[in-house]
Amino acid sequence: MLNIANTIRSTLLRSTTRYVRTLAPTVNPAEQQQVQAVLPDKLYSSIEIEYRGHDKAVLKSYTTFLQQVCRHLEIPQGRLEVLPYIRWVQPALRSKFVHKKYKLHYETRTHITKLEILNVTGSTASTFLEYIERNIPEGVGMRVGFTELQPLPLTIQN
Amino acid sequence: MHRLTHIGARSKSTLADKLRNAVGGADYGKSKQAMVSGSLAAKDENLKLPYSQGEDFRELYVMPKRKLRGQTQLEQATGRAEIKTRSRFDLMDRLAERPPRSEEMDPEKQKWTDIWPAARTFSASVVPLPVRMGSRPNVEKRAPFKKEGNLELVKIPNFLHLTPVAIQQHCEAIKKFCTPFPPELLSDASLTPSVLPISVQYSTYIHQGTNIRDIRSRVITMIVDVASLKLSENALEKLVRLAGKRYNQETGKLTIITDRCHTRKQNQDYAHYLLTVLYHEANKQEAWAELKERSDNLRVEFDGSTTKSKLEDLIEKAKSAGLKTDEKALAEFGEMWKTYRNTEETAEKTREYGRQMKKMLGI
Repeated sequence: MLNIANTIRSTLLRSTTRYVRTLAPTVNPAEQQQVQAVLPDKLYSSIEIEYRGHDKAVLKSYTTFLQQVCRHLEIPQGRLEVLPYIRWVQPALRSKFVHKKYKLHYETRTHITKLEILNVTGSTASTFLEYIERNIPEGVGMRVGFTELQPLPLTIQN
Repeated sequence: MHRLTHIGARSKSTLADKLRNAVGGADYGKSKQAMVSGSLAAKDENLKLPYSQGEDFRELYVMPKRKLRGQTQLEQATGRAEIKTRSRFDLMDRLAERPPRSEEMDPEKQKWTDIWPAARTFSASVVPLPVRMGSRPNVEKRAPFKKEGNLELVKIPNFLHLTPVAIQQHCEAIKKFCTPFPPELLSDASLTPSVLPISVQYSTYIHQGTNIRDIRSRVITMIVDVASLKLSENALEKLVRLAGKRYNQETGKLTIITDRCHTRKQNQDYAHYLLTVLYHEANKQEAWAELKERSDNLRVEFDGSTTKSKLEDLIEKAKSAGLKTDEKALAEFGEMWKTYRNTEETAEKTREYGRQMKKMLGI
């Protein structure tokens, strides 16, 4: 079907000297070549959970919670890193008029902690992460970095 | 007129009767009585009234069921009064008030997970812990403020719903959805690079905001172990030339980072496409590739270099001069020279060069 469309298009182009814009041939995804091999479950060599917040104590409590969950679900835990906080400073003038020397010092501190989880399957990862994410405390943001293991695509045959 | 009736009414009362009897019997002041209260009717015998035939007028007197003012005053004056104890005006309200839940809790009968099942703001009456919070100038003198009515405790996030027992219970419930990692991959370290040579990295983000999406989650980093592609020497060189900076010489890994599409899936498909194209292009042999010269090589080769030819001459001359030369060392020297020329120069490598040269020439 693709070939027929192409030949029609080429004949049309040859017949007319003017450039004719044609639509790209419609693609049926079912007929397309499968690129990725289908595995029964995803495999992750490591999942890195980085969580940030303004309160150091809250992050510490959340860390102990994560470690306990790893213990109960028998998930091998990688390294735990407590990074130095990121400071954002914005001073304001203390006086209404003049006196530039005297200011009010306002700053925001964002504390960062990273926890790594090693060698999990897709189902374990989704279970663990859903439970973790449902219990994130208020004022904490999270980034989950996945490292998935995949076989070679089917388009490459050794 | 008013005064006359008033006197008359008083004279009719039973108290008045009692007093009269006490003084002089029932006939005391009867004539007067007759004259004051309807005497004409009393004298008329034709009237058929209940009291007209000489009967006494049965007066109705209603006595309240309490002690009258005079009597109570007398009792109080004499000191024989009954003192009634009055209860508090708000007694019923006070009885209706219950003590806080934390005081009525029993650890044996109740479970904390039932009382605090999910995350909620701190409630002083429910939490049985004697928590205090507040900044004081001198903590030894004055303790921080108690939990009742403490807003600071309410403002902070609490983990009372995630006690160790609660975490254990939750994990027991969700454990059935977990699957074990293939033990074959864990035990054999070399299996993973051969069976699963590609590692794909991507991120998901969780934060508060009006938008649940994060644009950074579309980025894909695909790291391929090039050895698993099983390319010929020429194909590998071609791949390295095509990949450029994306290929790491030391680790032998090809890194493809894509973010040009809108979604993660599209970027992943694009990365697969790029890898496929690289692989197939590397395997193609073009006619013009045969025109390659020594100067076009990515790495400097020992075989065919002027150094080799010069060294060979040198060895022959040394042999004729009488020095003990080692010809087999030339191949070894060649290997060392190749690494020296193609990698970063260090002091150790330079020393090794000198050593090899001396060994080869027999110095």
